[in-house]
Amino acid sequence: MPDRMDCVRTDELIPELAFGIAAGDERAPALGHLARCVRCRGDLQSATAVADGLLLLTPEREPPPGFESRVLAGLSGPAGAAAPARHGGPAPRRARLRTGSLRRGSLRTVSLRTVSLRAAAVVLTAAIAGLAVWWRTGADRDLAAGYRHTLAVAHGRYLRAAPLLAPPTSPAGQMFAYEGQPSWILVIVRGAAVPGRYDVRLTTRDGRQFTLGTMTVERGQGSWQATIGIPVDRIAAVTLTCPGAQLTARL
Amino acid sequence: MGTLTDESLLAGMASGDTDSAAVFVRRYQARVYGLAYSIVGSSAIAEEVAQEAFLRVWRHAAAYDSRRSRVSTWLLTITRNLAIDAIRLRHELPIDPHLLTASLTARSTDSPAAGFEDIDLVRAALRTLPSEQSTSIVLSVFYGLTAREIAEREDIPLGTAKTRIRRGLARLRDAMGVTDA
Repeated sequence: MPDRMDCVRTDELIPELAFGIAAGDERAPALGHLARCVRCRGDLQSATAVADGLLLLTPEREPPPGFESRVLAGLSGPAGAAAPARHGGPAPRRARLRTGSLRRGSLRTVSLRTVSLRAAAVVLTAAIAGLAVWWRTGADRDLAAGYRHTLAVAHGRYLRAAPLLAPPTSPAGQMFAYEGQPSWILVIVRGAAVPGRYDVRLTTRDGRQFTLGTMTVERGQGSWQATIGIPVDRIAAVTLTCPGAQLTARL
Repeated sequence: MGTLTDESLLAGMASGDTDSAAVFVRRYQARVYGLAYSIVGSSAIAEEVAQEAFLRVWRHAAAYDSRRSRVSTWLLTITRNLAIDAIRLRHELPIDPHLLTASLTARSTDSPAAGFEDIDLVRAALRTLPSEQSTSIVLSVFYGLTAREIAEREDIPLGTAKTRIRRGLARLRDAMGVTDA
């Protein structure tokens, strides 16, 4: 039974949830409540219908000539290659190979008892190996649980890190990028040869560049962070530049 | 194929049929590009956003759930989110929200396309809102600004920004006749 107070709190947040602008720390408890409360879910659904309706109001506009061809070329290019699972085409290679091996097996005279013993041995070996892996990877599982918890705090999806390098490959710090709400980057400089104010620029995978701000490096050290409005997986590099120096972290 | 439903085209795309994709792109390109352009205010970025939106639909066609939203709604929401990502990096709104509001509420002489018959109702509803409420709604829905960001931008307390969004939404719901599901 949903708590009445939770309904009141969630109800206050429904407009922001429907418009996709609720702050992360408010969103998590509200979503937890929505999972349990049919009435609040109904409220959210109707509020979302309003937001959806508003999107229809923007005037239609014909895209530049050749747009359709470029989109379709993109679907069959590398970016679209991850696309849909194809159905109805030729069977995947692995499936065909497996079918072939079954056919070969059927020509042999292998007794049911032998097959059963072999199957039991395989299962036992797999179980022992599984237990060994389970025992040896305990620390990894704890680490993974801690990571998941860390991400859950700010509704994150993942955290990436990359070394910050001075040309050609001298370590000069680290860059961390967090995909969440909000997404952010943190740049830590340790051991830069040139002190001063560095411009921090972000380059996306499609080659666009954005200046995010400036940071100060003194005695070879400095740190700087900013929220970003671009998915982390679209970042190709973050570059720090000042007269006479350039540091780059590539993701 | 031009008469196939959106759901049928999406099913075709889920199975890798590029003919379905071509029909789908042709059907929605003006609407998707129009929405992207309204938000980002640049034809180059709008084209990039629109292309990426269709690419995402292609990639995730199999995951589309017709019980949750219409295909057009799904597509436009993807477009909106991508456009907001694009403008957030610039730390400024490319188009004055008052101009966008005026464009959204301008009377259209065209008959709404099939599937979009409710547009005039939505437009009329937005037109009835006090300016401060419609601006808050536009800033949040089209530019993805949080209540705190709206408060800073409009130089008003956070509570006032939240109230404007809430009251604006309530009036839109009433005017559009949207009831709780």
